[in-house]
Amino acid sequence: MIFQCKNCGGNVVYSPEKKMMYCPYCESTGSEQRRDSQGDIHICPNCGGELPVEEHTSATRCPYCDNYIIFNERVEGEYAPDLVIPFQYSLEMVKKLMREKFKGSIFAPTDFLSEVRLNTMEGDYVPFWLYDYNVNCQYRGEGRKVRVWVNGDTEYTETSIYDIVRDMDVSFEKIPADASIRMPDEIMDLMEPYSYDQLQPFRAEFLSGFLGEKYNMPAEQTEGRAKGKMEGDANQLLRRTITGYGSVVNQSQNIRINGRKTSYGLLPVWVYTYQYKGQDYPFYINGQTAKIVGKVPVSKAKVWAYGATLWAALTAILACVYGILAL
Amino acid sequence: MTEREWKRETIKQYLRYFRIWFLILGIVLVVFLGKLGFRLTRGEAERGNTAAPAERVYDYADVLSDEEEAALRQLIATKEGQIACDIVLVTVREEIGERPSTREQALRDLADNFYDDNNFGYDRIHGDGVLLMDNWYEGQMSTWLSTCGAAGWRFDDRRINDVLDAVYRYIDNDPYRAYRAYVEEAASIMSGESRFSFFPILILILPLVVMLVFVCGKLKSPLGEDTAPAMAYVVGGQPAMRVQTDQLKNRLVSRRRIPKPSGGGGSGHGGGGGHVSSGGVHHGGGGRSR
Repeated sequence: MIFQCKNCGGNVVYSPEKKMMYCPYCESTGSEQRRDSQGDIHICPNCGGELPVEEHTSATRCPYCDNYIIFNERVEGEYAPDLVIPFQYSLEMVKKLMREKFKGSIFAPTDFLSEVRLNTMEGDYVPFWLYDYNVNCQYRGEGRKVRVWVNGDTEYTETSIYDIVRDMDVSFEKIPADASIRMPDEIMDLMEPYSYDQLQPFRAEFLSGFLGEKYNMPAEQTEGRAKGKMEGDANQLLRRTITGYGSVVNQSQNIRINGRKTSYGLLPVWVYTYQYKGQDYPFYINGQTAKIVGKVPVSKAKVWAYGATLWAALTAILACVYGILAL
Repeated sequence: MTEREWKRETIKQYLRYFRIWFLILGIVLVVFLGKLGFRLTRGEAERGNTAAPAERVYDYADVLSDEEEAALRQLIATKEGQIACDIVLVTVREEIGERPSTREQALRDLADNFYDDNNFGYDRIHGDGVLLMDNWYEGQMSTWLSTCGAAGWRFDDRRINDVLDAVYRYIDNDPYRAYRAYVEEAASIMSGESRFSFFPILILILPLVVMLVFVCGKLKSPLGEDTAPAMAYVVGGQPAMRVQTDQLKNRLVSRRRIPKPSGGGGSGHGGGGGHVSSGGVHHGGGGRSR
């Protein structure tokens, strides 16, 4: 499907700034008209050009006419997402944030934050499985408190031993685990947390103007990661209630899942891939919170130039100061 | 942007980054060159005391040849002009005290009185100056460095020792070399050179350390922080506690006698300070026997 402008026929996209559909050609808002297409998904329904479509692509941009095409069969039926967080940051906003965050990275190649390079950034809806859990955590342990005081020439040490018992219920809501092979798991974990206040029922309009994928794997396959996060968080919550002890010995701990629910959602991520000396340096920006994850490339020539200049300048300054004082 | 434009942009960034450094360097360089120029064109400092004799080398012990005395006089004259401070050398061969405990004080008094009686002092009578009195009397060989005026606070205990060390390095085999070392060392201390003797090491080490810290700090680029709190996905932000008990099971008390600390302590000893000569002039100084 393509969203076309009723007024000018241009491709209408979702604008994170305006929070509505917007035609960048005639600047109309809310003028979108859905045009469904049947046929080969590798052919652009607008211009007939060849589309870059992979196994899990659900939305893409035609490299010839720049129209954003959404594949119905990959966002409907079994692949219909339950929920989506629409992009809250536009390309321009993200470019500004990138420049701000990395302005101190003096060893980065000069064009790292250039307009041309940053314009290659793409907004991507990443498929996530979202897991709800109702769990019961039981814990038993032994805690020790030690008190030392002095009376006259005698030192007293009092050791108090306690039985610690905890039993708590926790409800976890929508623990995310990405269902995309293309996106590295550890990076997607670093994208968290998402704020679920802006979670909405899925509408295909949100995809217009961005790339997207359907889930690459079933919920059962990614549940291990969500469960790991849940158990880690439950453990941490439990430990927070055990305070004031010098030492604690665990005796038993049990986390029991009483109920679970899974939903399928799309979460927004901007992806900027900077290429330098034959290597890719990917940057991922949370499309909702603008949290940036990525490692800045380093220009060895700049390291040498800046390091040597600093050394030489400081040496010369100190030598002059020495000369001034000693004369 | 073309390759050439990128290069230009890179250089621009570099210059922008180091502009403060280059500015500081420019300022200190100008000050240094100005001071150097002034120093080179200034010539000798004007002498304020005309009452003192022209003689600076009094070799009563006769340990120097005439040529050596003349060479020392010339060296002293040059140095005095540069540092604006009298430098006097006196050698004697006198029995100056019966007991070793009183000899140092006797030599000190002799040195101070010699300075005072001859009205030494570069800027004024009893002004800035140093006098080295060296006694060659068999069995009472000792040396005293008397300081006066600005030299009094420039020559602390450590620097007096530096001068005596320089003298005693050669005194037994080559008195002329020893007294030359005295003149050189005293002039160096008065000129302030020795005050900044740590600077060359600082110049070598500090920039290297700063550069390494700077480079390492700038190279540190973490991938990203884990900012998801444990409560992030908890409904209502809190777990519901069904049981939360901490029950005392046992309590044990042990006692231990604290051993009394054994007595002890340290004792210190005072350092020397300035003193007033019999002529009423404030002197500093220090001495050594050989």
